[in-house]
Amino acid sequence: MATAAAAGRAAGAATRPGRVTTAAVVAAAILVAAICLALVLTSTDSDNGDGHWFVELAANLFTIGVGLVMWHARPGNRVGPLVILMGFAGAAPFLSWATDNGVAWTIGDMWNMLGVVVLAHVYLAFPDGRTTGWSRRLVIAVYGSFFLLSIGQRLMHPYPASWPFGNPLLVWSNEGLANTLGTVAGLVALVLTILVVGTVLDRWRRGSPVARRALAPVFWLSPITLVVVGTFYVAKVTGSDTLFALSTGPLAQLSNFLLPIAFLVGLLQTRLERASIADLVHDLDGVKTGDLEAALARAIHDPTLRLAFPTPDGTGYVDPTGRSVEVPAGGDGRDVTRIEGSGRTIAILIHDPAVDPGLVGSAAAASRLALENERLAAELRAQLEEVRASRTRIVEATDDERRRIERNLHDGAQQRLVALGFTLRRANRRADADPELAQLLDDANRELEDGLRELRALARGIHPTALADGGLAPAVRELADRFPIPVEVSVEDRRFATPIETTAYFVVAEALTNVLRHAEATSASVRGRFVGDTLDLEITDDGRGGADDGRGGSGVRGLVDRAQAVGGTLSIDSPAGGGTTVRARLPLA
Amino acid sequence: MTGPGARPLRVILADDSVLFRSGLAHLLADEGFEVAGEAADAASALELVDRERPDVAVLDIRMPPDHRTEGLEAAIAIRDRHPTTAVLLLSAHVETRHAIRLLRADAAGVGYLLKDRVMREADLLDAIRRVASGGSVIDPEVVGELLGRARPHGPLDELTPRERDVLALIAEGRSNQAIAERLVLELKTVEGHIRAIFSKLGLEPEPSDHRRVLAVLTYLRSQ
Repeated sequence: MATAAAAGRAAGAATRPGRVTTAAVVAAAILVAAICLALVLTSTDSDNGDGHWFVELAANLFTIGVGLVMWHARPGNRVGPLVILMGFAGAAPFLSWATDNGVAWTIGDMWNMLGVVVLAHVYLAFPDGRTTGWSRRLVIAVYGSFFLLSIGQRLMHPYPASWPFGNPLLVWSNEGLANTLGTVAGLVALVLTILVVGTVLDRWRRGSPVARRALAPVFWLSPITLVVVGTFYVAKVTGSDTLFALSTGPLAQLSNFLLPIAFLVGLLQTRLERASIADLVHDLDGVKTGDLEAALARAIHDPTLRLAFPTPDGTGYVDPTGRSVEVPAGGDGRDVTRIEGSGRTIAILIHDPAVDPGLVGSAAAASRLALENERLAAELRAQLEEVRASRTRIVEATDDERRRIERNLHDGAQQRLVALGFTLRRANRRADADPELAQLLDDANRELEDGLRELRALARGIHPTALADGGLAPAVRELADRFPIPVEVSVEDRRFATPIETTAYFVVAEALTNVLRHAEATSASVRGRFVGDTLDLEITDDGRGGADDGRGGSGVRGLVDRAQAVGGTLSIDSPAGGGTTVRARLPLA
Repeated sequence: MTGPGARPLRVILADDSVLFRSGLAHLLADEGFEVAGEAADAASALELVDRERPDVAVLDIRMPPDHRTEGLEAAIAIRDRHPTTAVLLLSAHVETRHAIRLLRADAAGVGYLLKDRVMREADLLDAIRRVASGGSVIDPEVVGELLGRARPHGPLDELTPRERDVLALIAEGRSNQAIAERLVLELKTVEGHIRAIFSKLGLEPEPSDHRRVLAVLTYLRSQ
């Protein structure tokens, strides 16, 4: 299931330990320490003088303390409690100091490697506290073989008669079998140790950069651990006192202290990198969505991080380039963190589960505003684009309609009226006998001519045929030819897309009309140049200027609208008394 | 060239409006022309001319399929292929550049008339006869627009009103004789005016009427 990381944490068994829990752990540790101290001090065992026991006890207490810190730092992670358990388990051998109590001594002697067993568990569960698949089976094998073999051996192991107590667990005395079983247990433990170390090495090899950084301290310490634990089991199997001494010597004691620290450093590795969030906040200033993914990946040190956005219809997710993204199900090595805003998911981060959830949370929070802005900007862009497209469509539809009307006037009404003129002429010819009728028909014909002239002017105003036939240059020249003041025309003769030609023509026509209406000019000029893929239009007059103070009114506004409808721009420079220049830039493509 | 009276002028008509074609055909027939055929588009007009070899082809400038300048292209093609067939182009609009293009291709035996003009039958018949006899015809409205164009002060301002009248008639394609008759002047006087006009406008004297039309129109347009 594609849960949020937060939900995943809530589903975990552990939550942040409360004060009571913490106090209980501390109290238990103190109690264990007191018991161990009492056991050592009351023991009649002879080799308590070298102080080994003290270092060992301190290492265990230290481990418990470090475990508590881990549990607090990463409440959702089971590694903390496991390390605490390892500390307590490490104290089990102290029971074997009870040289006058058969039960206590037996348990202590039987489970003197309990700490190492829990250590194997911690190894396999590190750094996310979970074990799955092969790791889980290995953990079960370690616990199972340890308890079964140690108890099994003890059920058959008779203590020497010289001891002050017998074996309380003895069921069937068979020293030979018990010793064999002890050797087997040692061999199994050795094999399992190698398997555990191999698994950790494999995880390192295949691990994500984030996981590697978490594993690094433990990884570098593992040779020492391997030597210590391996030597112990080899000693147990071979019965070599030298090796046994080595496995419990200074190296082992150093390892006992270093291991919890390695786990702690590894676990908090990603947490120590919160400073990178400050960089992220800085990076987010003006970041584009495409770069945001990279900025986030840098901030949480996970190059595999992917950013995805919910599709508008809410059915899936797409990456910043718009490609569809499969949201991973839980447990396949990827975690999903949702970035919520305005009551819904703005984006999701797909990342390595080893990344500190707090770090991801901080990164998500830092990027939320930038993401929200980017989303709003994208929506706005889309809407603007749609509005622009629809305005272009409207203008084009209007132009098409004008062309259609002009064509209809020309091919329809005008032709019919001309035909009517022929008929009147022919009627006139036959009215020779009736001069009054001939005169009437003559008048009718004259009226018809006037009507046709008006119709022609109207059709030309609606859409000049010169524009459709010859393009902008001839159309503007024809326009200038009929203009009451001299208009110098210098327009490059070149054809381009009809909507742009039409727009350019109406910009010129409207600008010239404004010259007549407002400018009191004595001459004007129209210039049209092609600069790259842009038509640069300039309509200048020598009038009184001041058109941009509002006198231009709706005409100017209309010009700007026309130019913008085809993606162009239009500006007016009209200083009072200095003439007016209308400049339009229209993209040809 | 065949004059009126000797044998009827053979004319073909090309226009996509049936109403217009039949009205014009009736009118021409009434006036003693032989209408040798009608066409609804430029391509069939060309075929018709190839087949009938008429004295005059009367063509609408806008015809199917695109309603742009098919008639103009056809007129130029006809003059190129059949020098004995004169062409009269009819236009619904005053478009001087079309007139100039036509003249430039072949100024003799071509005419450009505003479509409304056909209702003044005398003007129309006169135009057909003039192009048939190798003259040039430019619609007075085209000339009027060119002459009436607003322009900065220049050589045209130095013409006397009478000289302007003569210039307009030259531009319409009239011969010296026709100008003299129209303005009720002596032929010598007209020739004097024409020399003065060409000198003032800085134009080379042109030997023929139709070359003269083109020169004047080009001059008016460029100013």
